[in-house]
Amino acid sequence: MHDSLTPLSGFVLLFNMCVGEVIFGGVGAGLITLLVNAVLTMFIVGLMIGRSPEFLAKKLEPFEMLMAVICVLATPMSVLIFGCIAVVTSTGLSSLNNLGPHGISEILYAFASTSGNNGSAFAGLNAGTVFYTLTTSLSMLVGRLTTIIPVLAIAGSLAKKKFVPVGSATFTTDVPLFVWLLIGVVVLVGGLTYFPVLTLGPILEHFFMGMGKTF
Amino acid sequence: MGVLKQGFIIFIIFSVLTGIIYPVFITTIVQLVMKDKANGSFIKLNGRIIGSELIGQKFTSSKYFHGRPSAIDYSGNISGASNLGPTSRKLIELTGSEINKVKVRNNLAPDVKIPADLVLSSASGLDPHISLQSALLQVSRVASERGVAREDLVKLVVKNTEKPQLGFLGEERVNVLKLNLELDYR
Amino acid sequence: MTESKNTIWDPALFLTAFKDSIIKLNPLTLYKNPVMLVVEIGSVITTLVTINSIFSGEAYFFNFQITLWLWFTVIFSNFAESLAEGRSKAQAESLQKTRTETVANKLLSNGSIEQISATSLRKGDFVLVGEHETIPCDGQIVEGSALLDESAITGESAAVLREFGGDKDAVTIGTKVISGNVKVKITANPGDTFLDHMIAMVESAHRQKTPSEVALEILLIGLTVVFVVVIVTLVGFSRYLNISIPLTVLISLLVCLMPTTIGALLPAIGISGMERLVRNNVIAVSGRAIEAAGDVDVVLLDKTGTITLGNRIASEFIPDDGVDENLLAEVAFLSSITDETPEGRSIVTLAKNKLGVRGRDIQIPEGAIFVPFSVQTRISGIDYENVEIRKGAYDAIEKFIKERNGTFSLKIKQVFEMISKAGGTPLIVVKNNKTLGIVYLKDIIKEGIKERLSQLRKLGIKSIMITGDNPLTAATIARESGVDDFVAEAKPEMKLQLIRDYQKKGHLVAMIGDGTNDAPALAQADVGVAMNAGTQAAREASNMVDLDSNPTKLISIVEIGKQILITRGSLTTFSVANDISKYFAIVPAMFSIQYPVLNTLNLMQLGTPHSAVLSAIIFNAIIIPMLIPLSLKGVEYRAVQAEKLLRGNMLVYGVGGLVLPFICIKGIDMLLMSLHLV
Repeated sequence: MHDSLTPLSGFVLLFNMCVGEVIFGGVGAGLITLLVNAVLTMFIVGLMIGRSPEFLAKKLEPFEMLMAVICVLATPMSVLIFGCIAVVTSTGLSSLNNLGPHGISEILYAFASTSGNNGSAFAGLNAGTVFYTLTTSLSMLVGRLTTIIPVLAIAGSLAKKKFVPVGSATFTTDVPLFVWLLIGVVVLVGGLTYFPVLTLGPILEHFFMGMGKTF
Repeated sequence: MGVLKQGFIIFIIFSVLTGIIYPVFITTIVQLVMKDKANGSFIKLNGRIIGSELIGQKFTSSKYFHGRPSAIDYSGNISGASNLGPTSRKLIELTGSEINKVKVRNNLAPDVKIPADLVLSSASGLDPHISLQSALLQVSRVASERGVAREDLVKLVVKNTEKPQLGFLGEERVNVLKLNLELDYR
Repeated sequence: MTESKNTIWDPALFLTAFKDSIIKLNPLTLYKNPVMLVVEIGSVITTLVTINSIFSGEAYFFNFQITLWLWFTVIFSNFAESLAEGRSKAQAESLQKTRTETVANKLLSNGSIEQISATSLRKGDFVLVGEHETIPCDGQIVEGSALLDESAITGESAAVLREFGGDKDAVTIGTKVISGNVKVKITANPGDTFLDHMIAMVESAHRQKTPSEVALEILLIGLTVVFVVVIVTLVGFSRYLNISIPLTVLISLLVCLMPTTIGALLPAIGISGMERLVRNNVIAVSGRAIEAAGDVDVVLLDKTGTITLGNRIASEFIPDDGVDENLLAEVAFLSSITDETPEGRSIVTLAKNKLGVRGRDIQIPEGAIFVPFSVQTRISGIDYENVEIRKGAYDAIEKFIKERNGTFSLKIKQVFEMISKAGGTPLIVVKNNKTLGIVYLKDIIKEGIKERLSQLRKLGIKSIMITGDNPLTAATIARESGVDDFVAEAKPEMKLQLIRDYQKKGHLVAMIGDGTNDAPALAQADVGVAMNAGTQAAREASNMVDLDSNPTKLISIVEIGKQILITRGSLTTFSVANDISKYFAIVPAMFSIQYPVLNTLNLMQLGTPHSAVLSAIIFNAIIIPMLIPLSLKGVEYRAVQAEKLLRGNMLVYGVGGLVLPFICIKGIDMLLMSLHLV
């Protein structure tokens, strides 16, 4: 049914899933992504105030960074790669209910939803085919495992670390500035990875809708 | 080993908490407080369940008010929409033919504007409501088919109109099943 | 190591750096910088495309320009690294010059001397070094004393005294003996000396990456990988909509999106940070130590030499009841006339001032015998005829006077109390069994130390003074100097315990020390800074050595540590923020040929699709050399609250990084259009 949304409404849903469902949608998974984005934010923040980065009074080191990067970037990669496979193969395209830019939205939504632990759908896409059953289940595996395993690894590694006492040179996360930075990181990381393909999907469709062009 | 044990205990605790305690607790409360709503807001006629307030039904006879088009033909065991986007050629064609159908059925002039809800299928395919305008549009047809006064029917429609929730959520709407039941059994 | 050598705009340095940056195009060396390696691969592909388009007679000018700027991107990156390395190497080379072949007089076990090359010396050997000879290897004086010229290492021309025993027994390879003869125990094998460490440190090949640098690289590589995926998949998505994107445009988009700015400048930032440290005459054994320095939040400072001048200075003569002050001054003068300790000399100076010209007339009585200070008696003085003059601490004098049936007057006791409470050191002067009065020795707090300490506090660092003095004295000095806390009556092993306690609470502790007994604490501290003037043991235990032996150097070390991090963070933010504008330049350009409606996204109203792509790629390339000075100098560090600092930096590098490229790309586009380059 989301299929029938106007392009920009669909864009918002897609974007929210693409940035790791940090707002609504991913039960539990959203919190994970938000925390990992906070790790990334605090890494940059730490550098910018001249302290080796720390989050929740624990030092962030290469291992945490590696896990955070996997967690944040594996999902977009899975969405884009599976989406691209679907869009260039005739099997992938044969399931489409809508053509034109909306087709890209449909396929993208399917993989964003499965990778992002969401469950909703642009239901027009016929996902009951062998191709989509396999690819969406694979993207679900990627989406879950590359989110949950790294975040558990970060948790375990941080738990073992020494507690760094808060001093006057520490940047604490309970200030509005942190919230803005976190939003910035979430939007930037999500935006940068998805912007080109979203341009070809909902954004182009939006312009087409205004022109009355149909497919 | 300690971690495994911890994990196992937490698994058991949460299984019981979320799998047994929580559902039982919620079920008990709603069955005590809002039994009718919790069970599906059924509409009964002479002791027999004939439908639910929340699920639309298909009416084809001209003697009844008609609901919205449904992509699943009001099949109660599934739900679904047309899933056609705004740039879909099929959607334009489909909507065009629905508009025609409504106009022909209700004997309307070609330039009459039809409310969108009456020609576009709902997201679930099971919308029990139509807008007040869509109901009023059908009054003349139903009145002539049934041989009743148009004014009486308008009154009946207005009587069955539900106000927007909290005064601002949604629109004024009419439950088609309830309205048709009143037609037959008032 | 003079300042003039370190200007960024040294033409000779430029030339070598440029040559070097071409050599570094070799992918076998470029693989260390994966971001740039990807750019290079992209450049190779566009080069092939350009060649192909030339031969197939297609329009090639655009492809050619893109190719050119892509190569420039890689070369600019190499240039930044080479320039930073060049500056460091220039320093290393000037150090290397001091390491000329020297001949060492090796002392054999049978007592004879063998002349061997310095390079064949081994740890544990003993050598003799005479006047005008060069110290052949790092070592420790085990006999004698010498004046040394250490200018080759420190740049400081004043001669320094090195002697056996005490806290100044370390000698460094390459320094010259001006006068004196010493026997030196070699403490490092050739190739492992101080100088070697220093040279290795400034040469990037041996530079260890710090943890946060590695973490940042992981982030940059992660972003690069994702952008490669974005670009590759974009081909599929656009083919579905019948858009074909030329290969050069795709590669341009990839290069623009990748964090090339920070990727290009990252090595330069690290190298120049090291170089700044060396320029401050500090040698760090590891990069980790520098980063830790930026995080230090507790610093232990020895009172003596750090907070106060090494020595107490006589400031007042307070006579006993019925004693003339001038008499006290005269006696104190006599007792100290041969006392070469700084305290003794300061008493002489004060007495001369008190007595005026007369001070010069005081004759040392005939047949006088000087009693030097000894650890057992803890008093010193002079004997002549039947007179015994002594000066010393309260309890030592009390013992002396008791043996001669004398007692302290009430006044002496009161004055003693008063001075002790005020944090001074009272020296009691006696003539035979009669007390004459008290010499008030004051600790002189170093000039500027208060400001330095308050600076430390602004950096979020707690300063703790360690002293062997009694708590009263310690408290006074702490108050006057403005340290946050102090530990009085401290024994050397207490330092170690103190560091451990703080570390247990999660603090990062820095300590400055010079003595042999500081060595365990220096080794335990997260940042141990040894004074070059200190002992060899201390130097070996620490992870940084300050060649100037200036204890307040820690502030500079901390600031350099922080600067490196801030520079990396700021340029990363800048680099990523730049991407937004590049998207708005290239994405509409890619798609608007097929779908002109997407030109709405062309916010900057760039002339043509080609000029848009070219402007973005030119901006992406020239921003690298524009930022070289910043990455070599480092982003300025201000000692303000963390949030304020962050807000400031975010405004400049985050918001600035967002806005600046919009303006620049538009500017470049207008230039390209007016020059008809596209």
